[in-house]
Amino acid sequence: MKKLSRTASSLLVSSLSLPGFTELLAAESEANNFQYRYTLYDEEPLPQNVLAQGDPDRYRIKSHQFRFEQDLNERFTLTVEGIHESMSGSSPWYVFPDPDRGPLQVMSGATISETRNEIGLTLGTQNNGVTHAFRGGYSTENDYDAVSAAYTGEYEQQNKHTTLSWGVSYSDDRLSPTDAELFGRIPHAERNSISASFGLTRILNRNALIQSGVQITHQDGFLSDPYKEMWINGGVFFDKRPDQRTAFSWTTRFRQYFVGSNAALHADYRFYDDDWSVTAHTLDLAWHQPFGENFELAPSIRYHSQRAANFYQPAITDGQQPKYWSSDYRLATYGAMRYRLSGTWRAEIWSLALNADIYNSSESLALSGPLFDTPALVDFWRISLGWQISWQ
Amino acid sequence: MTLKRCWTVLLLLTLIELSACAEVQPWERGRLAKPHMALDADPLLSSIDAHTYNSKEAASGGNGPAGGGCGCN
Repeated sequence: MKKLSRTASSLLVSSLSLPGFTELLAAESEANNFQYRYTLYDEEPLPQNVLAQGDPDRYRIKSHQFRFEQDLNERFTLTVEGIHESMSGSSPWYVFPDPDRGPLQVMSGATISETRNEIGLTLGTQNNGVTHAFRGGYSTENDYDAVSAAYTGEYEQQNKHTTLSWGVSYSDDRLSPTDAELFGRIPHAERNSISASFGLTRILNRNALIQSGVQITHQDGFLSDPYKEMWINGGVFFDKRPDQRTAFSWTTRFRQYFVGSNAALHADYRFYDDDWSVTAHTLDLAWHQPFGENFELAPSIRYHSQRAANFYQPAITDGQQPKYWSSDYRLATYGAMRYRLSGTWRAEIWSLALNADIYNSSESLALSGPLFDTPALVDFWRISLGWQISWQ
Repeated sequence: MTLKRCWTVLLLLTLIELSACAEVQPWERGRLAKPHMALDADPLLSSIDAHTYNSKEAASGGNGPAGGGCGCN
């Protein structure tokens, strides 16, 4: 049967938020296949000169992913994917405004150690020239459970120059923070998200194609981070964010083939905007260069810049009493660069891929936005090894 | 504001669709079908990328850590 096309199925994948959506749209392969990927993620320790107290050794995550895709008959395809992650390390809590040394980061102890498991099933089918895919997913960890559902469809015009894609997704999440009674955290909370997208993929000429699409996501419920706190006029208070958030994103992807070098340029750009006043620009460039019949090398660079949420501050010391507050560094103004080198070996029915990433973030890399000293900005490296086998 | 932006992008998409692109016959699409021209060559890598950036950036994935685990540390 006709599976979701590689062009359309990947539509918006980088901009998608809900787990069902992401896996659902990244759902095409040439044949029945099985994939496995191992990823090691390691954050750099917090520098001692900005550490107030706690453990400077930050997160380390080991991830095992698998994906199995099989045609059931002429009409239906089943895809099963899963992930198992184990996480350990310390996490930023709040910023202490030291009058002599400036803002210092208070970290948790190195006691955090947890695992997360996620499973997703997708059923794909075709009817009257339209390809449909339905996905259900479940993710669980000791303090967070999420159930998600998604649908996506695509329609390829008769001349096959244009493919239209659309989708909706929903996620119902339940939080039960660790040590809630000990630290006075909220014991139970809920949030949900709904998302819709529409996009278009177009062949420009025999060497180039473009894909562009929009997505709107609305979140509702407890959107604060139950572990984050903030220094407010001499006291420490739990993170308090609005209980709704609506986000808009527009993603465009461009592929250009170069005949002389048999290489391909990948250029992806995403604009993001939400009603928390976060605005972001993300540009990802990659050069895919084959060597011989089987090997390919792909250096890539990704730039991300974001403007802070309107309630973000590292700490409050001037007597303000805002309605909402957060000192979570992820809501700050900053920019980040990611450098990646990928190598892929493709044989007849199997392939092997190795990816190495370095990620650096800094206030000075931001394009615009209110600037604060944000000591917890994260740097990390990541290495990932993937393997795939296909069959008819 | 969000709806206005959506309409603007949809208008741009319509312009892309209506633009005078070269007619490419099916037998001329060999280069577009090469593995390194794929929009998403590796679904598992794209998935772990999205999960990582969703956890560490305010904007990744269109919103915060919705579903798929908290990623809140």
